[in-house]
Amino acid sequence: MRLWKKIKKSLQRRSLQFTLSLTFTAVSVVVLIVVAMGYSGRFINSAEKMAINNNKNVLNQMNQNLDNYLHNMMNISNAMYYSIIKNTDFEKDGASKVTEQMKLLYDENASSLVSISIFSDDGKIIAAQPLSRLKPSVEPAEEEWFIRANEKIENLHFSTPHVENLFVNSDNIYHWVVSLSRSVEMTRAGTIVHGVVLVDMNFTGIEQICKNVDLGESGYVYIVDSNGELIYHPNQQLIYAGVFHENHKKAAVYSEGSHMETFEGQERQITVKTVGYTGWKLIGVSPTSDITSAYTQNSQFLWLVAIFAILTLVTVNMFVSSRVANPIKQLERSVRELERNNLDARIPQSGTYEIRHLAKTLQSMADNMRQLMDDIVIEQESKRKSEMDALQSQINPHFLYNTLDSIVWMIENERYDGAITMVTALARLFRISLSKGKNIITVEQELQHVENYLIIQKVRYKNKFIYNIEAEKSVLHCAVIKLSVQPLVENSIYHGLEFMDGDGEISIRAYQRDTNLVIEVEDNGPGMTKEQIKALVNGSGEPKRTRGSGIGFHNVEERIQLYFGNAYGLEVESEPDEGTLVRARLPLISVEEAEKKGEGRL
Amino acid sequence: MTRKRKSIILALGVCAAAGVIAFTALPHRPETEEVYQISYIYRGEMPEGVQQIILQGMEQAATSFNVELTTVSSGTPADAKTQETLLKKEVDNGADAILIESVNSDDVRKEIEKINSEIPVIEVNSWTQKEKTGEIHKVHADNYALGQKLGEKILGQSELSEGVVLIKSGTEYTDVAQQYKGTKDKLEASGISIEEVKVGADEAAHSAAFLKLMRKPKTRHIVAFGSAVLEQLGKVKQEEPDFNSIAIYGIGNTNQIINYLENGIIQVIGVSNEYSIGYLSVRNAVKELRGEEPENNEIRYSIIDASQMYTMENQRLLFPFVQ
Repeated sequence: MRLWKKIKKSLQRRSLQFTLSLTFTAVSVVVLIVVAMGYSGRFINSAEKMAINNNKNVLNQMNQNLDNYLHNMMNISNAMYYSIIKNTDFEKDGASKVTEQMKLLYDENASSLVSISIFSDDGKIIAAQPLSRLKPSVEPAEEEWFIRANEKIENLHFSTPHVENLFVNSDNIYHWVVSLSRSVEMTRAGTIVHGVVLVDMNFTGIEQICKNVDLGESGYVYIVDSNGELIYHPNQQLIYAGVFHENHKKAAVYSEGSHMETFEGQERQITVKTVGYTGWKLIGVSPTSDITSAYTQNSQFLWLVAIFAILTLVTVNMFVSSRVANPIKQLERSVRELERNNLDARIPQSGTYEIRHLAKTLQSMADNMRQLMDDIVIEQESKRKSEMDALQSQINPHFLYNTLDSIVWMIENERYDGAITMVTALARLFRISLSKGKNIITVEQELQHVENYLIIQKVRYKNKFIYNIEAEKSVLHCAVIKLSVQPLVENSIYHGLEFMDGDGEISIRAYQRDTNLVIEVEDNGPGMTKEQIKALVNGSGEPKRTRGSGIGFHNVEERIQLYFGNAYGLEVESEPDEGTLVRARLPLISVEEAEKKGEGRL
Repeated sequence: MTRKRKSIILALGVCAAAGVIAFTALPHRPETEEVYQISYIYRGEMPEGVQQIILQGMEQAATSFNVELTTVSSGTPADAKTQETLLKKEVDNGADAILIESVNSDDVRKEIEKINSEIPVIEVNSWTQKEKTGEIHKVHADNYALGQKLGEKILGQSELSEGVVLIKSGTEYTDVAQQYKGTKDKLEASGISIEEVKVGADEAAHSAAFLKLMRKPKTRHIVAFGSAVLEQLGKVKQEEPDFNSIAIYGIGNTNQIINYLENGIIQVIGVSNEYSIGYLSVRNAVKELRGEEPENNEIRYSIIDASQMYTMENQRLLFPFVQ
């Protein structure tokens, strides 16, 4: 539950395309894996079933062949008994008649026989083919086949493979044989006596039946008797030599059918089939690796196809989800642009009908908003321009009246030179004030304007103060807002020097500091307390301006910031009785640059 | 075409290529196992007796491990020079591994060591003796112990006062030399007088030498090593009824020897499981070719007299179950 919540939370943070791709892919992968697992499982089951059936069929066939072979041997034994022995009186007919008939029988089955022989119940040889001379060291009555035949006289007895050792063989050939022995009744001078018939089957006959059995790549078949002794094994000699090992003792007790066993670390499928008459068991051994290798390839192929299908599906999912999500993504990107106030952003109209409709609506909304915004901006701009114009044109009529009054007074007193100077200064003052309607002028022009103003004021104040204007040559052509220094000088005169008893002094300095243009207006007036400075800077409780040009501290700062940004403006340094320094900080740029900059703002 | 579309087409292309590879690179038939060319250089003109059984073991392993086995005779008597030449020739002929019943010679040893750096060389049955056996793999029975066991069995016979004659032949081969030494050490340790009779490599001259030896009245117990010598000794004894009282012992395994054993011509024989030697030599060569570590299997041996011939254990040793 917690995991599901985590996944859900994580998906919520992801893009629509990712969520769509992931969901489609996850569903496809799960379905494909389930299908592949199902098929793989079916492959495995059917391969195992096929292997078991194949082993059973092979063993049945082999059993059939072995059964035929053993039947053939039993037929020989029966022929010996019922056709030869039963029809012979050994006393009367003599052994030669039996030998002749046995020769015929032997010749007929020579390929699968090593010898056939009849022994009396005390182990003496009566007749044998093809050899008849017993080895001197041999005691037939002590041989296992003889003892077993006499123990259970009604049965046929098959021995384990052994080397035939009864008859003298001048060729020095030693045959591996399986002995079939049975007790028989013989007639000797009309009397029934017991004897033993021995049929030594050539082991190669059994080997031929077993050795070409196909039980998979490394599967094989072996035969054990009821005691677990090996009758046949493809690696029989190696087992005898201890080089190869087999689980034959354990396999002898397996019931008929299929079993799984692990022998020497190898998992094997064992198929057991019991051979009739003998109690032998055919054991088919199929290493599981053989069976698995058969279906591993199919499984691998299936999984490869599944992986291929998954890859294809992932690609298709990515493609489809991108087709679905891209228009939404583009829409979202456009909305972001709108959020960033970029109302010019074009909203692409692609994708499905619903998304196209949404995009159209948004686009029309954005267009309307842009229109509204443009209108507002135009309105604001014109408002600001009017404000600026109003600010700049706030030249106090009182100042004009006083100036003109001073000029009249000078003319009346025949101080024509002073009157000319004042009128000239006033004319220049107005000319710069006008400046062809420009807001931005050079520092040089602004300082000239200030000087004209000071000339007028100096006359008016009867040389009560002196002034000094200094400017670095490099800043003279830099831009400054028209009438931005003059109001500061006006403040120095009205608030700093007017009430002074001694000589006032005003210093105006323009210089470059770092990348800024700094213009300082300093007076040696009464100065201000910290509270007064604070009140001035904050604009609260500013001294009432009843006189002067009427363009105050705030007017100048507001215009500077309106034009160049909040990084620029005015600073005040003042101490009571020490004077006041107002510092204007402006960007160090040319008039053209300033005008360009100002266009964006105003 | 956008970059995304290009990458999608590329990914689809990769998927298609993966599909094609899946269809083609996974054959439905299992890969055929590699066939190894292995040469067996044996001593003598033809594989006889023990060698034949060794060869049968090799052939069984060749079938099991997909080996094409080539047999190469190094002549009678096998000499170091011939074996050196044959080793080089088999390498030139492209053998993947060489099995050699080597003559105990330093020259052969050096050549084997040289070749062994390129392809596996396994010494079969006899080997080039050296204290530090190095990396050359050998497959053989403990011939010294076999000789000692035979000596023990001889000591168990009655009347050894006239001593025992040891036929010294074929001791240029390490297996025979070890068997000889084992028997001799055992008999000497028991204070039995030993007469060593050297017979040359010429097999034609053996009969006369053995006849002469058996005619000596003192000769009552003769021990021979190697199937050919033992068989010839048996043949000489069988042809002369006067020699019936002479006891013959030996190490070797042919049908004729078994026949002599069964008929009392030879009293005791020592037999090792040569079939296993042959099988294991090929198996170990294949293991080396596959980069696996060859196994050291113990080779069984037994001392057999006529009465024990047909015990199940001895039947399996004397009459290999050739399939």
